[in-house]
Amino acid sequence: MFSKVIRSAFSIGIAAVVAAAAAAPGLADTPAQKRENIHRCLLQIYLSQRKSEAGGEYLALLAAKPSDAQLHYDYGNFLLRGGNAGGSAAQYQAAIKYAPRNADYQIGLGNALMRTKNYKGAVAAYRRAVEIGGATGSQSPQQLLGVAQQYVQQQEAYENYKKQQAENQ
Amino acid sequence: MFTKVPDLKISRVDGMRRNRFLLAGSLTLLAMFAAVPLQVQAEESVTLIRHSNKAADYYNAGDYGRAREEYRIAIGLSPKSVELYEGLYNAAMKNNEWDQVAFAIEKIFELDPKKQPALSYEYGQALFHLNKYDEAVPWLKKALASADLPSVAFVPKIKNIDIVPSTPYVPPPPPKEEPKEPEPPKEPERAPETYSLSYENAVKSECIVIAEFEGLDKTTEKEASWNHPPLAHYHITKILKGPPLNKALPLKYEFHDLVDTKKPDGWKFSQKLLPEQNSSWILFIEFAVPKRGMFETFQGSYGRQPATDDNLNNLYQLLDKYNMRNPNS
Repeated sequence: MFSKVIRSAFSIGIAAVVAAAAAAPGLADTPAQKRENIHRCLLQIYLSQRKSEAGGEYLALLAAKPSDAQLHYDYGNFLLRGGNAGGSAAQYQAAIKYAPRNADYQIGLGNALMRTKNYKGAVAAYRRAVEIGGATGSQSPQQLLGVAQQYVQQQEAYENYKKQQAENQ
Repeated sequence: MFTKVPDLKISRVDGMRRNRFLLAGSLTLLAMFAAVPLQVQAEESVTLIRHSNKAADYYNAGDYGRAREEYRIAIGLSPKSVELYEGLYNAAMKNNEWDQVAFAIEKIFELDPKKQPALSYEYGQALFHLNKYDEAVPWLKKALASADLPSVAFVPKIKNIDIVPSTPYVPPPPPKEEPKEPEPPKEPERAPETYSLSYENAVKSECIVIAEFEGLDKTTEKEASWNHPPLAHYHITKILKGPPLNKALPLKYEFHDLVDTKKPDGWKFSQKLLPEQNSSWILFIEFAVPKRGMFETFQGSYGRQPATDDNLNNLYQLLDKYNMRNPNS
């Protein structure tokens, strides 16, 4: 289920990159605009070819636009897809820092925290997404919150079981 | 056994002598064919300027689709002009027509390889939008290295704007008025706007043709003087406006225009005053009816203008402006 969520978030990220790259061209671009457009084009090419160079393009774009929340979110999706859950959580947090009222970013953070088994943190993130509302992903934040709460309960039950076993010994 | 063929020993020189008329005729025909491309070239360049100016006008007005069309037509007439390809790529880029952008830039690279660093960004983007990712990557990387080069915004050039301005006309500031004593009114013979020597007025003649000067009529040439213009023979090559006149055109060859009729001191008729034989002229014939067997030109000598590129361009623009041009011309 979580892989499904991550996949959908990733595809949204690619669509955002495509839209940004398509809207970019201009005739008398400044050097900064040129650089950004070039990096966006290269990023899309690398993403479509599933090349690891895409990470470098994200970093180049973030160096030019450190407060671009959408870019942090897209990079978070990219890292999560590549299995770097810790790094992706940091990117989602950066996205939330610049756009705290975005439900998708909260869901992204929740997904990353689920991967790192920080279920309580994920519950908190999903709950914020439910409160904010307007999430655009295929999975509703309520469903995700319910699943995360079940994980928390399971984790607590397991910890209690372990504690009891330790006490019995 | 064999009978001797008369004139068997005719040499080549003899043969040439005997057929001199045939040779002369062939040479004349050759010369005529050689002269035709020059005229065609002149008309082509006029058409080219017209299309490139139209393209510039459409571009400046923001109608990039039509600008692109005009640039394509102009490129058809002059396929080695970098300037036209630049116009095409800019117009196409404004419309996100990436195939046209890539085509134009490739042609620019072909004609002027030095432009590669300056256009690698645009070419990389065009390839990217055409989904030619593998080809786009090296160009985009090259563009990244030269991203700090300043981009120059494209401004299409407009040629020959002195006659019919392609840009909106901005009137000059009015001169300071000083009190003047009113002059006594003069009665003009014709309305003043009809007799000034200008193409604007000449173009209103009943008939406008392009014709070649053949020479003066021998009988009238002897009596030619300042006030007795001789009869000249012209051969019409194209009728731009008016009725289909006979190709052989008899013309009253005035030596002066009708505004300034004063004879210059020491003026004397000589052959030097006449144009070269077979030279091409624009003839503004005010009334398409001959008087005493001769057609008269607009304002005398002013109605005969050399058929240069500039003059033809001005004339075509004015004819188009007033929609006076014959459909087949």
